[in-house]
Amino acid sequence: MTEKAGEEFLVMPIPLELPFQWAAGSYHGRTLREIKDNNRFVGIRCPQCKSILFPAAMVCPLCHVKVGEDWVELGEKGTVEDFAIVEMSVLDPSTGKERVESQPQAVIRLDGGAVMEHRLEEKDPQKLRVGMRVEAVFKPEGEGGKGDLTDILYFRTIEK
Amino acid sequence: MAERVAIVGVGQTYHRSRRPDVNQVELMNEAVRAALDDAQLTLKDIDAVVMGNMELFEGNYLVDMWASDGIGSYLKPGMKITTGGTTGATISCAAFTYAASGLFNTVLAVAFEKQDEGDTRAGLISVRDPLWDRFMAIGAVATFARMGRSYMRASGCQEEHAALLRVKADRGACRNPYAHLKLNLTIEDVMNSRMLIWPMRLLYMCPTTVGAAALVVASERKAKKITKKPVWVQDWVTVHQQSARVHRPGEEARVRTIGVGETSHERAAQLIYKRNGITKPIRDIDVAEIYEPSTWGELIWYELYGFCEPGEGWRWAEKGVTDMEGEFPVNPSGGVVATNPIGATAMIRIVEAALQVRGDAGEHQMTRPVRRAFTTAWGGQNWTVATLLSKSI
Amino acid sequence: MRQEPFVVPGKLVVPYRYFVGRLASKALIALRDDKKVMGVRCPTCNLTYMPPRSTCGRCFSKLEELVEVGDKGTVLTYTVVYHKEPVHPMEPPFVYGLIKLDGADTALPHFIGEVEPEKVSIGMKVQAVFKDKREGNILDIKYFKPQ
Ligand SMILES: [Zn+2]
Ligand SMILES: [Zn+2]
Repeated sequence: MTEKAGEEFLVMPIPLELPFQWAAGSYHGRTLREIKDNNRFVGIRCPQCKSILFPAAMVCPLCHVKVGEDWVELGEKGTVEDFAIVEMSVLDPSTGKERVESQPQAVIRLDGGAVMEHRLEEKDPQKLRVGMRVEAVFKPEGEGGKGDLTDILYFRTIEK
Repeated sequence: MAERVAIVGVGQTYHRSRRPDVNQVELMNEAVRAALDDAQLTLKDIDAVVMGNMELFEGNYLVDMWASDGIGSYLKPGMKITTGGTTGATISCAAFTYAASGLFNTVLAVAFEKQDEGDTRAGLISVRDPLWDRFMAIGAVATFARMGRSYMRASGCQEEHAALLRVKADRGACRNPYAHLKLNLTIEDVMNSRMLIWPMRLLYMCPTTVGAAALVVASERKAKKITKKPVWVQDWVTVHQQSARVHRPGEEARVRTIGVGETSHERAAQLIYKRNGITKPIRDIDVAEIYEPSTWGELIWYELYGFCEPGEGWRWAEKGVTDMEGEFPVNPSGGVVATNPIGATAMIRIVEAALQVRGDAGEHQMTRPVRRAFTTAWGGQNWTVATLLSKSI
Repeated sequence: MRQEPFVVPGKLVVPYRYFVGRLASKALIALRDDKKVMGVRCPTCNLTYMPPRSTCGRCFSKLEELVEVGDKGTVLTYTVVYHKEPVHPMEPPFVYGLIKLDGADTALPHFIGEVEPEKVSIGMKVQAVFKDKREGNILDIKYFKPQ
């Protein structure tokens, strides 16, 4: 099983590039459309357990009931529940290239109750803390508009 | 179930970061031959073959078709299973179920990963929703770093406690002839290793490994004919948990496990304990082989599996409870943090637990008798497989 | 409050690689360096496999005996491709064939060239045309042409 010195083993490159069309469905799609068109975050409330589904979904995973139309605006401000400075790079399968996370990553609880992950503008570790208040900064009109979370540049600190 | 089931043969390859000398099929073949030799059977004795690996880790698909020569599935019934990190355990459970159903007497289970052929990070990022959080996903390193931070904030655990467990894992790996990383680590080595995302250092994370594992499973009547040392599969369970997409205002998400509500680890362990009369794992189980892709997971999951009380995991690390010589040994093999050929990793837990029950683990065999062993596997952020192996029925 | 479906284009891009293993490396190096086409023999089943593999699927023997199967063979079956697709390796029309090399018991999928597609037939004798610059893979054979 071991390699002998000087033995040649062949390796074939298999570059893979597959195009997809991902369908969000009408509920997740509404969450994305609101980000794209109106720069706001909306989820939907389960009629039974009152949990917020964000991104919105057709069925509550906790109680398996079909949600109605109880859409909830979650606000664009929130509180940092957790943050991390990423000191490694990853190979991003969306591009096939190495991706370096130069902004800190955070778990943000929006004031409307739902949690999302995004990047922070503030890079100074001394100024980062759990509990800090932040707000979403959307890409300027004409630069975003993809309808996903990359339409948001980052969350910036709300100065007191 | 109609039939009791036993493991009658186990096999694994040596685990390395690169194996240019074998292709995927040849890698699987090594493990299959080892398991058949261990059972002293030939392919003629095998009634069905279950196999699998993880999606997107190699650049070819339909591996069951590619593999048929090497795993001996030519003209035999069987199926391929791929369930992320739990793949090896799910394949094992399928083989147990096949044999228990009475449909097949002797079943071969094969799992592998050839991580030198793809990119683990890209594979794991592809798990995430392309229409939500894939754009900034990092993969398992970030998940476990987040668990570690949250656990430290909540419990008083310090980094030293993780380092103690990492050194414990390395001691096991150094005694395990099949293990991948054997580093003779000190606490200082661990705490000086490269920071990836606080508090996750390189050495707290599993390596990318090339390797394969195989099991031969038989129904009770067959098993008793095949071997004098059958390892009885007392029980197995798989459980899924809630996604992170449900938010309850006022209830803080349990960031250390991701998502709200009970975790799959808690439910799987409680289910299997209850069904088998286990009220105190530390007394009722002799050894555990758990699936810990990161040392931070191991620390926290002692609590979720109910091995110890909530908040006590790091104190166990301090006291050495889970050392090989400790009161409740966990992963005498060195575990996942030393060896992680992902698709095969969860099966290696079962292989190692079976060896402990048989008394055949060699240098990392526990000195006291092992009557009952517990194994786990974890997939993505949301599901758990647990098994219970036993020396007697 | 239903709206039009929301569909987002995306892609998966990953640079994979495939290790062919010790046995296939030896066979492909012989093709690359010496234009020798190699198969592997199962002594138990008395069969020669091309492409070579290291376990016999029928009897589970370990296979190690590489044998030259020659560059000449017979078309077992074929198909003509008339439509254009991005994944196709060449401009249509072109011919895919299953070719049983004289020294082998199994068929190798490859291209059939230097012949009008209409003139290809089952049972036709063909011969490998090698690339000048060979890299150690099965496309070191450019295609098979009529003998
Ligand atoms: Zn609900
Ligand atoms: Zn044969």
